[in-house]
Amino acid sequence: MDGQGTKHRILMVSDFFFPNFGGVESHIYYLSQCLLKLGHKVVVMTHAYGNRSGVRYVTNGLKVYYVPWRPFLMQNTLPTLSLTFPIVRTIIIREKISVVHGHQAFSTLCHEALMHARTMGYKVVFTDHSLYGFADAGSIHMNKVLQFTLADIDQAICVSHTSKENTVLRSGISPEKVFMVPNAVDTAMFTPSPKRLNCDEIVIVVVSRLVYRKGADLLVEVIPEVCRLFPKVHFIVGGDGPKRVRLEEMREKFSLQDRVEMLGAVPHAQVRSVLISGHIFLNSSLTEAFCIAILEAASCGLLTVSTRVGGVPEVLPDDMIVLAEPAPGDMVRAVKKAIDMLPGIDPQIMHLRMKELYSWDDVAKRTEIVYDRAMESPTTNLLDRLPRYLTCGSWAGKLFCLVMIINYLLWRLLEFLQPAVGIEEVPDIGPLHAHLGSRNDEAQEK
Amino acid sequence: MEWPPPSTSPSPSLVVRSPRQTVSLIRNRRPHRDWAPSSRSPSFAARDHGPKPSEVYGFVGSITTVIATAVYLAWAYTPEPVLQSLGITYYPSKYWALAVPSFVVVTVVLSMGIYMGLNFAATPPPTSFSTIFDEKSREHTAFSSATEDERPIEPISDIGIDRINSLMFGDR
Repeated sequence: MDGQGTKHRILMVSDFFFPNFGGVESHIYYLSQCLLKLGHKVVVMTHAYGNRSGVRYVTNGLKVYYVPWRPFLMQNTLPTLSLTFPIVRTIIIREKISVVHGHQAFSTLCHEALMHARTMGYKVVFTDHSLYGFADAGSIHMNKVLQFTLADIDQAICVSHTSKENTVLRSGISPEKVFMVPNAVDTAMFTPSPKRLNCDEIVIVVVSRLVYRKGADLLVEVIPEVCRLFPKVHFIVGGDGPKRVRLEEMREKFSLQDRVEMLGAVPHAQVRSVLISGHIFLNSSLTEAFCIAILEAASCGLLTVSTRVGGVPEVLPDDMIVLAEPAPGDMVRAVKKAIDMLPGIDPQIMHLRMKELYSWDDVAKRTEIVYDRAMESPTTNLLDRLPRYLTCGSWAGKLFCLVMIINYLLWRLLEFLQPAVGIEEVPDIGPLHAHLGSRNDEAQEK
Repeated sequence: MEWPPPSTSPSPSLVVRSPRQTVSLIRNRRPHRDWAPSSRSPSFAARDHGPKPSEVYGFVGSITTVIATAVYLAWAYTPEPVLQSLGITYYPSKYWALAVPSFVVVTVVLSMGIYMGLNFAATPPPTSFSTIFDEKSREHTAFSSATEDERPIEPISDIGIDRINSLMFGDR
């Protein structure tokens, strides 16, 4: 174990982290925990959330910098290009970081930190968590920003092959630089119910935010039709959002108050108790790079019905999922097929298969390979990097070069004002799970 | 009834929409795919009935931008006597050709400065409780299932500053 590879010092950067909740937040936290177990040092950098500001230590000694930077739009900070350079530089030097790992294409802090770390000569890795289109105004601008960030990246990670293809097309990055490392699920937390549910009454569970891109409008049409065709079907809908009113109206219109239960927002700690009360999990997303909710449901032993969008077909084997086009009629047929398949499903066997297919330890090992590959890439200076930005476009390329030159000059200025050798380095606290273990022993002795 | 297999035909939108060098790489590697490609989305059907509105907007937008830029440059740099001789006698004052860009630049710089000031104002002082504790802090809940084979990743919880100090600095 000790002689196995070099130990990295990783800085995770994103606008999204606890106390915010979501797929990116969970991914960063679980990945960091498993990397800590492998012996690496992990530091997370995000912006302040309300009163949660400054430096905190969370489970197993994971250090989190809540930089006092006000969120501007949807938990994103205002893009300022260079104003974050001093704090990013200080954190990187204090923690003796070797790899900077940015998360999520829509995170302003991530793009800026990667740019600054690149200027300072550090290795940078980027993980893309979402699919974006090519034609709407927001996506066009976002793709240009991504092209700028990825023009000079060491390695990139996508959570599915579909997501990898999407990212390569959007940014023009070389496909050899992009790794596919899937999301995972904590199978120990999502275990099936010890007592198997009987099939006298079939319960279909929906757990997602009730917004447009999660397909809430599809649910409004699918649920009444399924209830009409199958009298013994009940629905449990967990989640909140703008489209919840439409689902409530649907319940009123079709008199389904006793067959469709609306739970509202479900804390992540209670998702398992909701899932194990059902037989089938229904996912109606219109776009997904990867769908963690499907993994959680399969880990709890539920048969999944999902729309065939984005990276969803890659997630589960065919006997664990029934795919449908994102259209109400096709989804109703898929639900019917799932109900027919239900007697042959064993939740315990499905759970064991999920434990082998997806685990965060495996994700951490694969990410470790990406870090090793990034460390092997050659170190380049400013003159070697400028041509990469020039290829981004006839006008954009020159603008990007100008931004990078200014960024480099700013770095030299910071080096002059506050030399790196003068910044105090933070002492390490060592692996904390060992201390926790000894602590538990001491508690038992008392 | 056997469920129909996913469509193996590649979506033309991937080729048409993004004419980059890597498209040829993707196309060459396509026969070696070992995963089911995502089939066309429902909005793709609208493509069969003429150009999409977003494409028209994009095209008109780019043309309008070029024309507007040319008109602006002509208005800003052509001397007034030349404009008069060409018969153009009514146009906004040239003062605005300089004033509006200056306003934009000053707005951007000031917004950066104000944003930085807001961030400094939001920074809690070193003596503030916010730097060590807040309403979202979570206590560490001890797991009693340490002996079990399957142990979940512990949910996120805060470690107190006293423990961190003792771990980091020991008895110093």
